[in-house]
Amino acid sequence: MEFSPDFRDPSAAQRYAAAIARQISQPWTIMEVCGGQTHAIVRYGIEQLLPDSLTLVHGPGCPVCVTPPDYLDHAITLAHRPGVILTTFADMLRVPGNQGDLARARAEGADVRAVTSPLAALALARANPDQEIVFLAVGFETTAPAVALAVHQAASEGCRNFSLLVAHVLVPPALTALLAAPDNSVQGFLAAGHVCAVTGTTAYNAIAERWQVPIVATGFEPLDILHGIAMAIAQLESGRAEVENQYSRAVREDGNPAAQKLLAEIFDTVPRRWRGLGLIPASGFALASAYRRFDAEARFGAIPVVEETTTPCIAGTILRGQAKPRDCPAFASRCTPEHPLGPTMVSSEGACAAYFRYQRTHVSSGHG
Amino acid sequence: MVHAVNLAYVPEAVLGDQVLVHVGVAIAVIDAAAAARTLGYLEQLETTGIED
Repeated sequence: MEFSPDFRDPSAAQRYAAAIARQISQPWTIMEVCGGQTHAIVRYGIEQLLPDSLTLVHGPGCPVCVTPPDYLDHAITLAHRPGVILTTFADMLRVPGNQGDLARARAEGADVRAVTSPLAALALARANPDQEIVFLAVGFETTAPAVALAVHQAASEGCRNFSLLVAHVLVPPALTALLAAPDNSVQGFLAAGHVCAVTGTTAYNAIAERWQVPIVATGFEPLDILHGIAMAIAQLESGRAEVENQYSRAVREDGNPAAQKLLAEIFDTVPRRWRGLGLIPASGFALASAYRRFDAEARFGAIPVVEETTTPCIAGTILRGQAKPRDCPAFASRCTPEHPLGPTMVSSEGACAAYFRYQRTHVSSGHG
Repeated sequence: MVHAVNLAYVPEAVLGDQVLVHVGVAIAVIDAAAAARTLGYLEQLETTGIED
């Protein structure tokens, strides 16, 4: 991206850090919601630049990580059906379900294919009219518009061999769930800029007001994140709790109206279970009744809810911002990106993968 | 490398615009003037201090 070098200027980062340190008068805890932001923070060592009185906690904004394992089990079962091509994003292939992962299913002979877009899955359906193409759709409000487009196109083309396992989740209800937890320590949020590009910032107004927390829509470059932190600290220090927009080059107050319109047509908002956070009311998308014929559950049978198997993985605690990857005894020993015990070590947006890749040997600065 | 990008959600985009793309679909047109303003915030922060 053309602007990126400017938003990665190390001397400007130092100046931001100094300005934040000058203004902070007491300890504050801020959560960056999105896994992409977590990666930038860990990769560029942003926490090490910041004063000890500021704690950054990593949020649940990793769609791969919050998808319950039974979706993976169901996808694996479908992948083994003759005539089915199971498609999903590459990150999903190595996420452990209760019974192995999609990569293992592929090794056992199932037709599992990674795609970079739901539109590519639809193209596969066109090219293979005698096979059933199932797309395992995960992601937040950022990804759902592309899926809505694929469903809309499939409907207008009369496509009969394309269906979806929909595991889409929504950010604002998850923030509410975190804030409502009795042990919540988060005092301000950096909201995920790309999600806000779709939803707009108004989606967060009620949360900022009800819970009296600053929410700053923030981008993903190092200076974006430092800027977002500076804006959140300014609010906290002055006792304000508002929705602000750091990422104005991509986020409008009302978001993307064309995307919102199609989302409302294709999907209904439903309760959804999250890995680590449990059942959250009105926190997911499911296909609306007019599009139910594209629902893989309607076509092949509903997802059986499977009791989660016991695992040493603490992904749930990490996704709630209550632990850091290095707090886990399995981190970088029994659990690595080669042999992940849980989703936060697999995904390119997972906190454990970020720490493993960038800070495995870093000495903690004491507050991190 | 050249990728096809679906522009259905950015009807306002014109030739020469940068767009934010997620899984093959553009979800926003990048506002270059806003980007420049964002980069100017640091100086404002250093001159006026953080409390507005």
